[in-house]
Amino acid sequence: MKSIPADIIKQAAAGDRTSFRMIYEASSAYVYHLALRMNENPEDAKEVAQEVFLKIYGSLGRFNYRSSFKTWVYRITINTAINHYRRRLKEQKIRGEWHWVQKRDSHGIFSDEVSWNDKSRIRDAVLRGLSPEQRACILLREMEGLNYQEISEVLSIKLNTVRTRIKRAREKILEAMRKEGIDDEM
Amino acid sequence: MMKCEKVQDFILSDYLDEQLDSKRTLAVEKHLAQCEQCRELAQEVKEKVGPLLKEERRSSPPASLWSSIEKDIEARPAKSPQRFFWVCWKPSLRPWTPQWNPLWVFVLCLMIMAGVVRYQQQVRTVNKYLTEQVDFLALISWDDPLFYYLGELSPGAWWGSLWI
Repeated sequence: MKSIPADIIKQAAAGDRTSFRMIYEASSAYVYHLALRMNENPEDAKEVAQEVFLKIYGSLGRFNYRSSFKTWVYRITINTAINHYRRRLKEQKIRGEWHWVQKRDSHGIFSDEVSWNDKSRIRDAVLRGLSPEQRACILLREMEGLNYQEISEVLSIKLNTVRTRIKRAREKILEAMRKEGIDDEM
Repeated sequence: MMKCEKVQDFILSDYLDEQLDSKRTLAVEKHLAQCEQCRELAQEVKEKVGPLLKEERRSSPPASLWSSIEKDIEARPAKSPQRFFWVCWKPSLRPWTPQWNPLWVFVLCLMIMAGVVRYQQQVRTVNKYLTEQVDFLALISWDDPLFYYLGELSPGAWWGSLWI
């Protein structure tokens, strides 16, 4: 994510729409992409991204510069995405869409319709098998390239918890790939 | 030599992500040179997991996202005085967290030292008073007529004499 000058943040906090647009331009691709990987479908990702930017707009005045702006934006994105995911799961359970929930909970990550030749579909299926917390850690590491210290700051968790979640996520991914016999030629 | 279990833990996290210190990295590499099972795991994780999750380009947000955000911002109610009051006071209601800058630490030390000195002064004053009282009592002889007289009296009269 491109660094955003402090005066732009201050102007946006004061209500300047042009400065806020600059913040949006610099961070929207990161926010949307992370939301998409956390929530699987574009509609949910758009909803999450919209909520994230409204939260940013509403709380820019309270941004205290103790952490970097990037860390702050990632934190809002991950928290919003996890909350959205849980809310959606709850709605689906209430509506009685048990086939979807059960497949996710017990059968693990794979559904029959996934074609294993398609890398993006394998990735989506593999990520679906992880808990939202594990998914957040592994995505921040592999996709965003954050180190363990940065991840612990973004998620406000201990360094050892980051380590454990990343390890468990990789174990699950490997196990799933071995089970389905996915080779290196993806 | 490190045990396989420990090495495999490192392979799945710190070693692969280059978060290990040089000493441990060396120990893991030494183990990998000798253990085929761990070497295969390292190779597998490196070739399968990383490339699967890394993406060449990010998905762009839909063009309608910005207009939706703008619409939501405009639909928001203007900040009322009550909300403004809350926003102003909210930071002061947060629990205080110490800021360990050198000036504060110095001032804190000075305050503690002043407190200790004041306490010692108080203790000295009380000790002086008690010593005087004890010395005074030691000067009074048990053969003093006053004590003799008090000893002869009945309890009622004794208290009565004190009253007088």
